[in-house]
Amino acid sequence: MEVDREFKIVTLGEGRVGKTSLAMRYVRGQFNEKEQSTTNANFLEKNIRINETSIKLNIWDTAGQERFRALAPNYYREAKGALLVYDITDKESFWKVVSWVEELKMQADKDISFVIAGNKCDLELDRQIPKEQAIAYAKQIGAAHYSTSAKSGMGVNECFEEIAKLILDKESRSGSPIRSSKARSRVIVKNQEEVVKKKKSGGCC
Amino acid sequence: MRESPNHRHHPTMKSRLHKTFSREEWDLIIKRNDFDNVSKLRLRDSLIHGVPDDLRGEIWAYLTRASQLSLQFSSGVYNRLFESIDPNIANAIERDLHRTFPDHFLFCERGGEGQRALCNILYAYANYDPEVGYCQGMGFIVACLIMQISNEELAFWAFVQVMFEYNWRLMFTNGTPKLINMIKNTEKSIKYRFPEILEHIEENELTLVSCFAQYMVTIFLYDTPLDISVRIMDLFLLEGEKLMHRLLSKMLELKREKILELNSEELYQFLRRRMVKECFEEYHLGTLFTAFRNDQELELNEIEPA
Repeated sequence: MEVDREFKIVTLGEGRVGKTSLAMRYVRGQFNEKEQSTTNANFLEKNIRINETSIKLNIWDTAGQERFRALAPNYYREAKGALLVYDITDKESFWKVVSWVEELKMQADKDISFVIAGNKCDLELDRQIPKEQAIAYAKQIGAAHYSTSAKSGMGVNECFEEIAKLILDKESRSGSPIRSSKARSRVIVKNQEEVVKKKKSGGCC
Repeated sequence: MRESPNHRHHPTMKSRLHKTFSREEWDLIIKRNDFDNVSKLRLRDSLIHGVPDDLRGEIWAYLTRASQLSLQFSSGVYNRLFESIDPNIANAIERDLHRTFPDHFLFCERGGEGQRALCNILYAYANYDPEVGYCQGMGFIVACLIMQISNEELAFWAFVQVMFEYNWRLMFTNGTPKLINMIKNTEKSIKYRFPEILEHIEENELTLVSCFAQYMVTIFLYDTPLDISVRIMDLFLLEGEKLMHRLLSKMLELKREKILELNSEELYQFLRRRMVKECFEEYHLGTLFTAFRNDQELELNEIEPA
């Protein structure tokens, strides 16, 4: 498959809110009740198609540990989109999202698109963050808000695809596609070669 | 096991092997618990050769000198250390208990024996070293010590030694100075030995932090099969940080061609996970842990304890 666009996306949020579970649900379609805590970051790819554009999402799923925050720029540098995750049953985790937004506005790519995910919606009874409050905040910073559950799968595809759409929209509005750097286009070329190789050996998914 | 086809750095490796300790000798060493009067070369080769599994816990306590440390404190100190704890720290620790080796029989049960010991040691440590308190990643090291050193209190003192004597606490203080320093050293060493690998990693928009940080923070425990990571820990407890640089460089050397062929997510997953398993399946530990001849030229500086 030819890739028209390649977007780097980063997941950010407090530890244990379900960043890894959301990414794994989205990319692999799996949910693991016993996910290990993430000590550094994971990197996952997913190819999607939005309208006529085929997009490769490079998803960086980061560790929530505050102590390692100094490393975060390693992951959000050059990211075009951020999925900010909180746990609807944990008030503190929502404030962490707010602080990430502040940091990204100062430090990240100025065109970065935000989507906020209120995760663990399967635990609605334990909700601590009123949905209206979260939606109002998202609106205020020009982000979309999704209610998600990595466990049930609810809202997961939608929130990631929303990020891709937002990035595409920004591109078309600014007139010029947010074009990849030289290095990135080289990577794309290599990937195409790989796909060709795979096809030859008959082992394509 | 397949041996490295390429022994140019160590043409005489075999003849340099020192006689490994017999079980009786290990028993004696543990009983005497005297670190200074044991041949380090024999010790090293014995660890590479492999130690009796049932003695590993005692050998780790011996290597870390955990019991010597515990003797500096009156009895009952450990128990008092985990009696009370700041509720915020307790909360942070408890949230991770069931996310540390969740598939291991000792730690899979909520509130089970392993999780309780893990919790006690992390509480005690947070009180013992308030500057560090608790940080994610520590639990993997503690859990691994618990698996081998069955005496919980001794496992605690062994952990204290790893944090202070091996200076791993600077991995977990604000700004993670030790991690930053190790990454700097890694960059220096890769640039010197395999500049094409560094370039390839950068071309794929990956960073050394994203590929290797979790090896360093958790001493190869995170995502490495345990039968492999205990062998790494055997040698780490003898040699500390140096061993980790050597092992990483060795793996990159042995897997150089494969690394240069992979891209993007595949490259990332290989570097941060599969590479270790493949290397230990295909090569002898003696190969994986040998120093490069030009190690000294690199002048990798370890960060001083704060």
